[in-house]
Amino acid sequence: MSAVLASTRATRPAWLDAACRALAQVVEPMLEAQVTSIEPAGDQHVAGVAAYVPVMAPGDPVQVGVVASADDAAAIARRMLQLPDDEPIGEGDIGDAIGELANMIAGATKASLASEIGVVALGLPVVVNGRVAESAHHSVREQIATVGPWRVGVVVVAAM
Amino acid sequence: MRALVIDDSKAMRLILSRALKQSGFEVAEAIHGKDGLEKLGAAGPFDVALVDWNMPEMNGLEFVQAVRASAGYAGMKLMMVTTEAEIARIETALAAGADEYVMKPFTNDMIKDKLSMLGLAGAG
Repeated sequence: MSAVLASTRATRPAWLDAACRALAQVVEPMLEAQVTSIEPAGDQHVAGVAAYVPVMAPGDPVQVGVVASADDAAAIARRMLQLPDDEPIGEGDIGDAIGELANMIAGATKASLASEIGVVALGLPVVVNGRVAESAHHSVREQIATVGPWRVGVVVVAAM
Repeated sequence: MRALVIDDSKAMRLILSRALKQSGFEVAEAIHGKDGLEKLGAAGPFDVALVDWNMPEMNGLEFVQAVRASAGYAGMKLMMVTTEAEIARIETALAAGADEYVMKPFTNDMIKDKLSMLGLAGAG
Protein backbone atom coordinates (compact mmCIF):
# COMPACT_ATOMS: atom_id res chain seq x y z
CA MET A 1 0.00 0.00 0.00
CA SER A 2 1.39 3.39 -0.90
CA ALA A 3 2.05 6.04 1.72
CA VAL A 4 -0.67 8.19 0.17
CA LEU A 5 -3.25 5.45 0.41
CA ALA A 6 -2.11 4.54 3.90
CA SER A 7 -2.78 8.09 5.03
CA THR A 8 -6.32 8.21 3.64
CA ARG A 9 -7.55 4.65 3.90
CA ALA A 10 -9.50 3.32 6.84
CA THR A 11 -8.50 -0.27 7.45
CA ARG A 12 -11.03 -2.97 6.58
CA PRO A 13 -11.64 -3.93 10.22
CA ALA A 14 -12.35 -0.26 10.95
CA TRP A 15 -15.06 -0.25 8.29
CA LEU A 16 -16.78 -3.24 9.86
CA ASP A 17 -16.43 -1.93 13.42
CA ALA A 18 -17.81 1.43 12.32
CA ALA A 19 -20.72 -0.24 10.52
CA CYS A 20 -21.60 -2.22 13.65
CA ARG A 21 -21.54 0.94 15.76
CA ALA A 22 -23.70 2.61 13.13
CA LEU A 23 -26.23 -0.22 13.32
CA ALA A 24 -26.62 0.43 17.05
CA GLN A 25 -27.11 4.16 16.40
CA VAL A 26 -29.74 3.55 13.74
CA VAL A 27 -31.92 0.82 15.21
CA GLU A 28 -32.73 2.60 18.45
CA PRO A 29 -34.63 5.55 16.94
CA MET A 30 -35.88 3.78 13.82
CA LEU A 31 -36.86 0.37 15.22
CA GLU A 32 -37.08 1.12 18.95
CA ALA A 33 -34.77 -1.84 19.43
CA GLN A 34 -31.30 -2.30 20.86
CA VAL A 35 -28.26 -4.27 19.78
CA THR A 36 -27.64 -6.78 22.54
CA SER A 37 -24.75 -8.72 21.00
CA ILE A 38 -22.39 -8.60 18.06
CA GLU A 39 -20.16 -11.50 17.09
CA PRO A 40 -18.15 -12.64 14.06
CA ALA A 41 -20.27 -14.47 11.53
CA GLY A 42 -17.85 -17.37 11.13
CA ASP A 43 -19.75 -19.96 9.12
CA GLN A 44 -23.11 -18.84 10.49
CA HIS A 45 -23.95 -16.34 7.78
CA VAL A 46 -27.34 -14.71 7.68
CA ALA A 47 -29.08 -15.23 4.35
CA GLY A 48 -32.26 -13.65 3.12
CA VAL A 49 -33.05 -10.04 2.22
CA ALA A 50 -29.94 -7.90 1.92
CA ALA A 51 -29.23 -4.30 0.96
CA TYR A 52 -25.86 -2.80 0.05
CA VAL A 53 -24.88 0.86 -0.23
CA PRO A 54 -21.70 1.94 -2.03
CA VAL A 55 -19.41 4.22 0.00
CA MET A 56 -17.08 5.84 -2.53
CA ALA A 57 -14.03 6.34 -0.34
CA PRO A 58 -11.02 7.29 -2.47
CA GLY A 59 -8.58 4.39 -2.71
CA ASP A 60 -10.88 2.04 -0.81
CA PRO A 61 -14.47 2.04 -2.05
CA VAL A 62 -16.61 -0.41 -0.11
CA GLN A 63 -20.20 -1.54 0.09
CA VAL A 64 -21.83 -1.45 3.49
CA GLY A 65 -24.76 -3.81 3.82
CA VAL A 66 -27.26 -5.44 6.11
CA VAL A 67 -28.91 -8.81 5.72
CA ALA A 68 -31.71 -10.55 7.58
CA SER A 69 -33.74 -13.70 7.05
CA ALA A 70 -36.95 -13.22 5.08
CA ASP A 71 -39.04 -13.46 8.25
CA ASP A 72 -36.83 -11.09 10.23
CA ALA A 73 -36.66 -8.65 7.32
CA ALA A 74 -40.45 -8.60 7.15
CA ALA A 75 -40.69 -8.03 10.90
CA ILE A 76 -38.09 -5.25 10.76
CA ALA A 77 -39.93 -3.58 7.90
CA ARG A 78 -43.23 -3.79 9.79
CA ARG A 79 -41.61 -2.22 12.85
CA MET A 80 -40.04 0.54 10.77
CA LEU A 81 -43.38 1.29 9.10
CA GLN A 82 -45.22 0.92 12.41
CA LEU A 83 -47.48 -1.79 11.03
CA PRO A 84 -49.13 -4.48 13.19
CA ASP A 85 -47.16 -7.73 13.46
CA ASP A 86 -49.82 -9.69 11.59
CA GLU A 87 -50.32 -7.21 8.75
CA PRO A 88 -49.26 -8.55 5.34
CA ILE A 89 -46.35 -6.66 3.80
CA GLY A 90 -45.15 -6.87 0.22
CA GLU A 91 -41.70 -7.84 -0.99
CA GLY A 92 -41.16 -4.35 -2.41
CA ASP A 93 -41.92 -2.66 0.90
CA ILE A 94 -39.62 -5.05 2.75
CA GLY A 95 -36.78 -4.37 0.33
CA ASP A 96 -37.39 -0.64 0.50
CA ALA A 97 -37.25 -0.64 4.31
CA ILE A 98 -34.11 -2.79 4.45
CA GLY A 99 -32.55 -0.57 1.77
CA GLU A 100 -33.25 2.54 3.81
CA LEU A 101 -31.85 0.85 6.90
CA ALA A 102 -28.64 0.09 4.98
CA ASN A 103 -28.58 3.67 3.71
CA MET A 104 -28.69 5.08 7.24
CA ILE A 105 -26.05 2.63 8.46
CA ALA A 106 -23.74 3.49 5.55
CA GLY A 107 -24.23 7.20 6.23
CA ALA A 108 -23.43 6.85 9.91
CA THR A 109 -20.46 4.62 9.07
CA LYS A 110 -18.83 7.10 6.73
CA ALA A 111 -19.55 9.97 9.11
CA SER A 112 -17.75 8.18 11.94
CA LEU A 113 -14.72 7.59 9.69
CA ALA A 114 -14.70 11.10 8.21
CA SER A 115 -11.38 12.02 9.84
CA GLU A 116 -9.76 9.12 7.98
CA ILE A 117 -11.61 9.03 4.66
CA GLY A 118 -12.73 12.64 4.24
CA VAL A 119 -16.09 13.61 2.79
CA VAL A 120 -17.19 10.86 0.42
CA ALA A 121 -20.36 10.16 -1.50
CA LEU A 122 -22.87 7.38 -0.95
CA GLY A 123 -24.47 5.48 -3.78
CA LEU A 124 -28.05 4.30 -3.87
CA PRO A 125 -29.02 1.07 -2.07
CA VAL A 126 -29.15 -2.18 -4.01
CA VAL A 127 -31.51 -4.79 -2.55
CA VAL A 128 -30.89 -8.47 -3.21
CA ASN A 129 -32.11 -11.84 -2.04
CA GLY A 130 -29.24 -13.96 -0.76
CA ARG A 131 -25.72 -12.93 0.15
CA VAL A 132 -22.61 -11.79 -1.65
CA ALA A 133 -20.02 -14.53 -1.85
CA GLU A 134 -16.32 -13.79 -1.44
CA SER A 135 -14.28 -14.00 -4.63
CA ALA A 136 -10.75 -13.47 -5.87
CA HIS A 137 -11.70 -9.85 -6.49
CA HIS A 138 -13.40 -8.83 -3.29
CA SER A 139 -13.57 -9.68 0.38
CA VAL A 140 -16.78 -10.04 2.37
CA ARG A 141 -16.59 -9.41 6.11
CA GLU A 142 -19.61 -9.95 8.30
CA GLN A 143 -20.65 -9.66 11.91
CA ILE A 144 -23.92 -10.95 13.29
CA ALA A 145 -25.86 -8.64 15.56
CA THR A 146 -28.79 -9.48 17.76
CA VAL A 147 -31.20 -6.58 17.41
CA GLY A 148 -34.20 -6.99 19.67
CA PRO A 149 -35.62 -10.39 18.61
CA TRP A 150 -33.88 -10.39 15.23
CA ARG A 151 -30.52 -11.56 13.82
CA VAL A 152 -29.00 -9.00 11.48
CA GLY A 153 -25.83 -9.44 9.49
CA VAL A 154 -23.65 -6.35 9.07
CA VAL A 155 -21.54 -6.76 5.95
CA VAL A 156 -18.65 -4.88 4.36
CA VAL A 157 -17.69 -5.82 0.79
CA ALA A 158 -14.35 -4.45 -0.37
CA ALA A 159 -12.04 -4.91 -3.32
CA MET A 160 -9.06 -7.17 -2.67
CA MET B 1 -50.10 24.08 6.43
CA ARG B 2 -48.85 22.00 3.51
CA ALA B 3 -45.69 19.91 3.38
CA LEU B 4 -43.96 18.09 0.53
CA VAL B 5 -41.90 15.00 1.39
CA ILE B 6 -39.28 14.10 -1.24
CA ASP B 7 -37.49 10.79 -0.73
CA ASP B 8 -36.90 7.80 -3.00
CA SER B 9 -37.65 5.44 -0.10
CA LYS B 10 -41.32 4.70 0.35
CA ALA B 11 -40.62 3.72 3.96
CA MET B 12 -39.02 7.07 4.69
CA ARG B 13 -41.82 8.98 2.96
CA LEU B 14 -44.34 7.13 5.09
CA ILE B 15 -42.44 7.80 8.33
CA LEU B 16 -42.01 11.50 7.57
CA SER B 17 -45.57 11.91 6.31
CA ARG B 18 -46.94 10.33 9.48
CA ALA B 19 -44.89 12.69 11.66
CA LEU B 20 -46.06 15.69 9.65
CA LYS B 21 -49.71 14.67 9.73
CA GLN B 22 -49.48 14.26 13.52
CA SER B 23 -48.37 17.90 13.56
CA GLY B 24 -51.37 18.96 11.52
CA PHE B 25 -49.82 19.18 8.07
CA GLU B 26 -51.46 18.25 4.82
CA VAL B 27 -48.80 16.16 3.07
CA ALA B 28 -47.88 15.40 -0.54
CA GLU B 29 -45.07 13.05 -1.58
CA ALA B 30 -42.51 12.93 -4.39
CA ILE B 31 -40.08 10.14 -5.25
CA HIS B 32 -37.12 12.32 -6.32
CA GLY B 33 -36.20 15.94 -6.93
CA LYS B 34 -37.58 16.09 -10.45
CA ASP B 35 -40.89 14.66 -9.24
CA GLY B 36 -40.81 17.25 -6.45
CA LEU B 37 -40.45 20.09 -8.94
CA GLU B 38 -43.36 18.66 -10.92
CA LYS B 39 -45.49 18.53 -7.75
CA LEU B 40 -44.60 22.16 -7.05
CA GLY B 41 -45.50 23.11 -10.59
CA ALA B 42 -48.87 21.40 -10.30
CA ALA B 43 -49.82 22.35 -6.74
CA GLY B 44 -47.94 25.59 -6.16
CA PRO B 45 -45.61 26.38 -3.23
CA PHE B 46 -45.79 24.34 -0.05
CA ASP B 47 -45.01 25.75 3.39
CA VAL B 48 -42.12 23.34 3.73
CA ALA B 49 -40.38 20.60 1.75
CA LEU B 50 -38.49 17.81 3.50
CA VAL B 51 -35.84 16.63 1.06
CA ASP B 52 -33.54 13.61 1.00
CA TRP B 53 -30.07 14.11 -0.50
CA ASN B 54 -29.25 10.90 -2.41
CA MET B 55 -31.98 10.17 -4.94
CA PRO B 56 -32.12 9.10 -8.59
CA GLU B 57 -33.11 11.49 -11.41
CA MET B 58 -32.50 14.67 -9.38
CA ASN B 59 -30.85 14.67 -5.96
CA GLY B 60 -31.89 16.81 -3.03
CA LEU B 61 -29.14 19.37 -3.41
CA GLU B 62 -30.11 19.95 -7.05
CA PHE B 63 -33.74 20.31 -5.95
CA VAL B 64 -32.80 22.93 -3.36
CA GLN B 65 -30.75 24.83 -5.93
CA ALA B 66 -33.62 24.71 -8.44
CA VAL B 67 -36.19 25.94 -5.92
CA ARG B 68 -33.96 28.75 -4.69
CA ALA B 69 -33.40 29.85 -8.29
CA SER B 70 -37.13 30.51 -8.62
CA ALA B 71 -38.54 33.66 -7.02
CA GLY B 72 -41.97 32.05 -6.92
CA TYR B 73 -40.85 29.69 -4.17
CA ALA B 74 -38.94 32.24 -2.09
CA GLY B 75 -41.15 31.79 0.98
CA MET B 76 -41.00 28.01 1.00
CA LYS B 77 -38.89 26.46 3.77
CA LEU B 78 -36.53 23.67 2.77
CA MET B 79 -35.36 21.02 5.22
CA MET B 80 -32.80 18.43 4.20
CA VAL B 81 -33.44 15.02 5.83
CA THR B 82 -30.49 12.86 4.94
CA THR B 83 -27.80 10.36 5.89
CA GLU B 84 -25.16 12.88 4.77
CA ALA B 85 -23.84 13.87 8.17
CA GLU B 86 -20.47 15.54 7.53
CA ILE B 87 -20.14 19.23 8.38
CA ALA B 88 -19.00 20.00 4.83
CA ARG B 89 -22.21 18.50 3.44
CA ILE B 90 -24.35 20.49 5.86
CA GLU B 91 -22.52 23.68 4.91
CA THR B 92 -23.04 22.91 1.22
CA ALA B 93 -26.77 22.38 1.69
CA LEU B 94 -27.23 25.52 3.77
CA ALA B 95 -25.20 27.55 1.27
CA ALA B 96 -27.45 26.26 -1.52
CA GLY B 97 -30.49 27.55 0.32
CA ALA B 98 -31.65 24.84 2.71
CA ASP B 99 -33.13 26.30 5.89
CA GLU B 100 -32.67 23.32 8.18
CA TYR B 101 -30.85 20.01 8.21
CA VAL B 102 -31.90 16.75 9.92
CA MET B 103 -29.68 13.70 9.95
CA LYS B 104 -31.10 10.22 9.60
CA PRO B 105 -31.81 8.39 11.82
CA PHE B 106 -34.19 10.79 13.54
CA THR B 107 -37.11 10.73 15.91
CA ASN B 108 -40.50 12.36 15.35
CA ASP B 109 -39.64 14.85 18.10
CA MET B 110 -36.53 15.92 16.18
CA ILE B 111 -38.66 16.65 13.11
CA LYS B 112 -41.19 18.58 15.19
CA ASP B 113 -38.43 20.59 16.86
CA LYS B 114 -36.94 21.55 13.49
CA LEU B 115 -40.35 22.56 12.16
CA SER B 116 -40.84 24.74 15.23
CA MET B 117 -37.45 26.33 14.64
CA LEU B 118 -38.65 27.21 11.14
CA GLY B 119 -41.63 28.97 12.68
CA LEU B 120 -44.16 26.58 11.20
CA ALA B 121 -47.24 26.83 13.38
CA GLY B 122 -48.45 23.36 12.47
CA ALA B 123 -45.61 21.85 14.50
CA GLY B 124 -47.18 20.97 17.82
